[in-house]
Amino acid sequence: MKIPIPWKKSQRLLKMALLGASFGAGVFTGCAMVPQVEREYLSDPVMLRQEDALEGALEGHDFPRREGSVGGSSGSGGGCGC
Amino acid sequence: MLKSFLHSGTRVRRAGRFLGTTVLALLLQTPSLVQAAGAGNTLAFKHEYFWDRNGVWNHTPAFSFNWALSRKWSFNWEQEVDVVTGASRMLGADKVGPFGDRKLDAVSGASKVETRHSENPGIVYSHKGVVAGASFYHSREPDYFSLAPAASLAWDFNERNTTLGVSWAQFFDDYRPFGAYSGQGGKKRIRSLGATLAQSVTPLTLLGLTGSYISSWGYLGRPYNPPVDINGVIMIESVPDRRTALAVAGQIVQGYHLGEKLGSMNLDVRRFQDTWGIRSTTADVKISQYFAEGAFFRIRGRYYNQTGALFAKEAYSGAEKYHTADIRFFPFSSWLVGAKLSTAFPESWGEFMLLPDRWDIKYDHVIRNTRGDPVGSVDGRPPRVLYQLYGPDEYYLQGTLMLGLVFNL
Repeated sequence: MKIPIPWKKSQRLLKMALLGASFGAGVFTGCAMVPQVEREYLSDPVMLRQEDALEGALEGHDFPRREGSVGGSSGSGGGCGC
Repeated sequence: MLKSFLHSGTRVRRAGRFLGTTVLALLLQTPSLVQAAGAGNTLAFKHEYFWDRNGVWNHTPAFSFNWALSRKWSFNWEQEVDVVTGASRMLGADKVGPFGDRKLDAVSGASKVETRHSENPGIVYSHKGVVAGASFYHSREPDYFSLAPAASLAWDFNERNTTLGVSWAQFFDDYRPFGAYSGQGGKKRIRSLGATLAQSVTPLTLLGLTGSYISSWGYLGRPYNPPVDINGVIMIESVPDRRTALAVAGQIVQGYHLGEKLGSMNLDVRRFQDTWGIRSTTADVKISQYFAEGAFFRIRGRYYNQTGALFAKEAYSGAEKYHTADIRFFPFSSWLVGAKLSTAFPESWGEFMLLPDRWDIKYDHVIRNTRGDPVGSVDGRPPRVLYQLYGPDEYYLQGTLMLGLVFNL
């Protein structure tokens, strides 16, 4: 038995992502420049989504393996400690 | 004013020479590798304590070590050790038998208390807006073995206002279940590809778009919590041996000033879909704020929702090809709220190499809308078995406490 696969939707999603990336690349490269001296804030820890790499690695294990959210992060290999 | 404002983050600023370093750390799935490019020599320790309503607890001590080999090259080592119990639910007798029944669960055959360790060395090259990294992950636990090489590359252009990054990882995993399920298991392969585009729009605004492609094949199940048929008879888990997933995520980081102190709002929205029929949406918001020199707090809210796999049922007729009771393949929603505090120790401590420079504490609380399994039969049918060992009128809960210390060497 073959399970039905909603693959067409996924293909549509991929096409949308590629379109979005292409559009984004076009728009981004035309964006107003932020001078280098003014980009200091962007690398500050409070501006980073995950300023702590080790914390990020531990969270990457927790979500799919403990909470069960298989789609919430990319971490799906490497065992589960279970 | 600007100088004092910048100084508020001086002791914790690690990345930042290249936007590529910052952006990849923000957006890619292997931040440790990329952050190593912007870090000095640091040693960080973490201890994570996890608990949930099923009686599972998990202690995970971990450390990471970043060493700048030269201006262009740096080395990174990440180490974790898990000590977990209740990974297999306590279905059988407890504290009986020659090992006090601590080694194997009497019904599922899975280990009750288990240790796992993982190592992830990596090397990073960064020069003139190009950041390239490679790592080699290894993990081992009694019934599972994993090796995973990974690589990422990012380069800045548009006067370093735009970053394009790509990443690749391949897992070579081997699952050898214990006890009653020792005949199952097998090799598993996972290949993931990612691409990220990010743009600084203003001195306080960053936009990002990430796409991921994940392909898995081989033995993709987890047999310890077997499904049951409509008569209550335990079945052997069976899931397809191929799975492909796509995910797209958009990010926006918006900084602001509260007085002279820097703060930010960080929003991440992710859509995921795979060939088993699971679709999910994640919305994750983090608000961070400096409140003193080198000290900031962060509050977080996350919503997650997924549909179930097309073949997942609570009870099976026996005619189906695929059957599973793994909660990961069933529909649910969850909410997370969390808080983090990170501060520097007195600056004078930095003169002594053996004293830490920073510490942090974090707690995340999750509620998931899956209820516990009913104890008896319902309407003459056997009880639903999803291995959620709390009341049928209660929701699943979990908590994660993390403590950290950072040494700047």
